[in-house]
Amino acid sequence: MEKYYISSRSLTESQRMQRALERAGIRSAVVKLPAGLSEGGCGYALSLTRRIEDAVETLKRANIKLNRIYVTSGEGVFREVMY
Amino acid sequence: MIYLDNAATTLKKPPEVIRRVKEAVSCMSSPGRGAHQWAAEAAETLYRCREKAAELFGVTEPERVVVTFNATHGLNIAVRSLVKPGDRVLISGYEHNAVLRPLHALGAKVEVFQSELFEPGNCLLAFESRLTEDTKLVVCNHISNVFGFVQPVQAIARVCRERGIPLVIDASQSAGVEKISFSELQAAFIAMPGHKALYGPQGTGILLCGCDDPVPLLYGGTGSDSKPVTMPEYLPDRLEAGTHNMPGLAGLEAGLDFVLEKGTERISAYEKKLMGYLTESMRRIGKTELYASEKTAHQAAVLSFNIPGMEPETVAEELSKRGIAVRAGLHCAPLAHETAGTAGTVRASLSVFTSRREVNTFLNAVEDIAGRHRLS
Repeated sequence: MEKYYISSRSLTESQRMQRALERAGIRSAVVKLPAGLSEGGCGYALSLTRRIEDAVETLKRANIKLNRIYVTSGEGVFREVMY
Repeated sequence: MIYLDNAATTLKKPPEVIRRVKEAVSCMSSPGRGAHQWAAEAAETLYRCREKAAELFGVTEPERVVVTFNATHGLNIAVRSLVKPGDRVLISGYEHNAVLRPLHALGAKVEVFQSELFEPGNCLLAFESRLTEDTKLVVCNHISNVFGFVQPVQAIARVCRERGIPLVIDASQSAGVEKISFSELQAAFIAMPGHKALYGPQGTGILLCGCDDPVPLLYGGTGSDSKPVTMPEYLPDRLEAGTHNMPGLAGLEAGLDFVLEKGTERISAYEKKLMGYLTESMRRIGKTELYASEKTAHQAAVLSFNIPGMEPETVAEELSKRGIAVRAGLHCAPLAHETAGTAGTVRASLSVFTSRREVNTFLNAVEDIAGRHRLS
């Protein structure tokens, strides 16, 4: 199953994104961004397995600036995706 | 013990505050410092604390709710962010040393707008008359910690917005008892403690940050953006270096819950009614110099007084012997005394937990002390 990571600058920003998705009925989890994807080190992301398009739209509507979005099929390989 | 020193710290806390503090000690580590459940519990608690403060104070972005150790910490960040040596800073005549000392340390040129107690109209006029083209910053407390004078911060904020001058509000005495809308006031910073009328523990505070390029007071680990040797540019991380006081913040979250549930208006109405009763009774008793407003809108539940011929500290000591806790002296605000023309006062301050019965006991004690002093 594919897993999406919506990266963010900080833990607080990830939490704000999670709340916005929660209100829209989209389940997600705040996780540490894998080290290889975090330019500055110690990055955060929101991970979700479904409804990525809905999630992106919801975050845009909530005026939350989106950073990078990655997808992985679970073998340690991440690919950046654009929405 | 009858506790009437709530302007310093509210001693009686809602039971949930105490429960959450105890719980946090054993089940929370540090937000953003791990992927385990204890770090997650801490992160969730801290974010809820931000969300609730944002709800109470009309902040649309929870990341603008910065947690601090107290209001002084927040005011130091605010002043350091906005003041350079030699800058002209206009402050009210009722400011606390938490404002004066950081300004002095930074070498600011401090100007004061002084006005009579409980005269918000005159206060606004004094403020406007001292405002000049080169005023770089205005700092004003919402409520005087010495006299409970409710200063016209809404009007002052409006003038500052019109003139494009940043405003810092010290909400130490008003957070939890007066309406504060960050989005309406549009202040650069609003600083407040967690341990007064937000009913959290000591060692907690909140800084609402409207300024987009604040200067950190502390530098260190934030659990984010760790490779650069500079602090992150974004809030709240930029201003929150080091491990958070999670037991304190868990308690503060419960305190915010308490205030949100009761409602600031109801809390204020209760305290002002009791304050009205206290003031009227003190007037009836006589024997004291009272610094009180005729209008409840102009004074919060903080009452300064003196017994002629007695030092404030002696009065406080006598009250303490009778099991009543008040504060005496300058209350860390010598400027407020200079403005009001006093050299120190006894201060009785109420909270939502203060009862009429406790006020009556206090009144009897004051009457007794003043009466004995007259006889001696």
